[in-house]
Order: sequence, then structure tokens, then C-alpha cells
Amino acid sequence: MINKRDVIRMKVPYPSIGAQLAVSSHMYVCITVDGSMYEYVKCQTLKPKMLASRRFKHFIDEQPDVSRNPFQRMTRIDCDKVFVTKSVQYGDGLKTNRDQMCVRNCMI
Amino acid sequence: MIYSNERKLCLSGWLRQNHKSEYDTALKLQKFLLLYECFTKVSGEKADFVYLKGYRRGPVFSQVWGDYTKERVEFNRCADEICHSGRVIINEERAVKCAFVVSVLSENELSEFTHSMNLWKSKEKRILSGERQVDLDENDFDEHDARLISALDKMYPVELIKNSSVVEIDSHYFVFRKKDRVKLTEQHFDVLSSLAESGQLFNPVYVDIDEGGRLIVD
Repeated sequence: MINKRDVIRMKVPYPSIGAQLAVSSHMYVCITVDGSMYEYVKCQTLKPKMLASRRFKHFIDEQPDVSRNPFQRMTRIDCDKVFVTKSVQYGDGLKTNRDQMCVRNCMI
Repeated sequence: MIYSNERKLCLSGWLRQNHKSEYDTALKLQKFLLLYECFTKVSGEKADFVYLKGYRRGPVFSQVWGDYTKERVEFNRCADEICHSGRVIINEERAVKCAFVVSVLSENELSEFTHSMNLWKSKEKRILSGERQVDLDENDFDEHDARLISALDKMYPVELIKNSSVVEIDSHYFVFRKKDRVKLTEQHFDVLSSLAESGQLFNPVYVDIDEGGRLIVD
């Protein structure tokens, strides 16, 4: 069961859905749980191109920190977009090892 | 005659000794030198932005450019000599970070990054109008630029750099943990080539290898 502040990781075949030898890793922080409706914000490893990008207006840049997040590299949490799923069930296997993420000043 | 100062020669010699491929790429040498001075400034130490000029592809240390392109053999010799002499002290950790950044970004990405800095952007109109030898002013390195450089500093801790191995395919830079690099098979390289062709990647591309041998691309 996914709870608020849990971080899930999804591995999507890459570069296409039929690919078997590579997957693209995406992490999401759950920010709302309302029955079977879940809302997430996306986490991306911070890259230099993103530093100068005007695409991000509201975000949090998190350093890897075992006491507060599951990230291995500096990560940008994109607070401009919310991903919503309804009636989708999530297995606990999607959870990262360090759940219950501490997110401060998240302007959502 | 070589006009570059000893600091620039020493840094260039360091790069030649430790990252020859980046040293042999004129733009990457320039970005390395620039990043080193930017990191120096953000750390509160005295930086050297003398003879920094603005060009379309970003800031250029013009004396280094002239020496490097016109007196290459002598420039190489002087760079090596000063680097080995011990006359100039380099902050090794800072140089390692700057070299890593230029080694995992394409020339276009490095140019774009420098274009976003007020140091260059404040003179953008003049540079793009075709004016040559536009002097860049250290005073235009503002809080925004300092934040960019501080972010780079945090993004690439020395431990990560020392533990990383970079594979370049067609201007895409795949970063592996050193222990994973040795596990790469020919099939993996084929996959990396097709990933590079997909055109959806931002450098640096971090790649892990899972228990089943799949590449986990980030």
C-alpha cells in the first residue's frame, strides 16, 4: 500500500516499450492519497541542462541523504506538475527502501 | 612567444596530464579553465578572469586561445613545465570537479551552460551582433551565476567522481560505477549506441547494471 510521502520507483523499458535490455528509472513522491486516487510529483536526477532551464518554476533540489530520502544523486523534485492515477493498484515492490520522504517547502 | 600566464599554463598542464582528451578539445579546455575560476570565486578565493572575452560559443580566455591554436607545441611544453615545477598551486579537488563536468557534457551543452551565466549573458547582444573581442567583466558574475556554480559543486562530489567511469558514444556521456564498467559486454555497448541514437538523453547519463544484466538508465 502506498502512503503519502512514500517514494516509488518505476522502471520503464527504454527506449521503447518492447526493449528488454535497458530500462529507464523514474521516481515519484506520493503527495496525496484519497481512496484509490493517488497524486505524485516526479523526481529527476539533476543535470546541468536543468539548472538553466526555465521549465522549472517550483522545485526542490535534494542532496542524497539516507536519513531523509532514497536518492543516490542530487535530485530535483518537480513541483510544477502533479501526476494523478485513479483506480490503479500499486504493489509494495515499487517502494524504494527509504520511504516516508521528508519534503520541506514543497510549493504544491 | 607564449602570452598565457602561469596560472593558466599550470591548469592547462594539469588537464593535459590528467584528462588528455578534454585538453585536446579547444572548447573543453576553455570551459575547464572558466569553471575553475568560477569555482574559485564562489569559494571566496581570488579568481583570475583576466583576458576573458565573450564569443558566440561562450567565454574564452583569449591569450590561452591564441597560444593554444597558434603555438601549440610551445604551449604544451610550457604547460607541462609549469605544472611540474610546483611554482603554481592548484586546488586538486576543484580541478577534478571541473574536469569531470567538461568530460560528461557535450561542447554544445557546455556552451549553453555558459550562455546562461550573467557573466556572458550581460554582453550577449554585443557578442551576437558580431562584435569581436568583447571583454567580459568579473563584476557581471552575479548571485545567479554563483548559484549555478554552487549547484554544480554539490551535484558532483569528489567521491562520486572517483568512483565513476565515463563511456562516450556520439557526444552522449554514460557514467558507470567503476565496478560496473568492467561488466559491460558487446551487447551492452550495442544498447548504449541505440540509446544514444534515440536522442532523448540529457548528459551525463547515469547507468547502473542490475542483477539480470539490464541497464538501468537515468
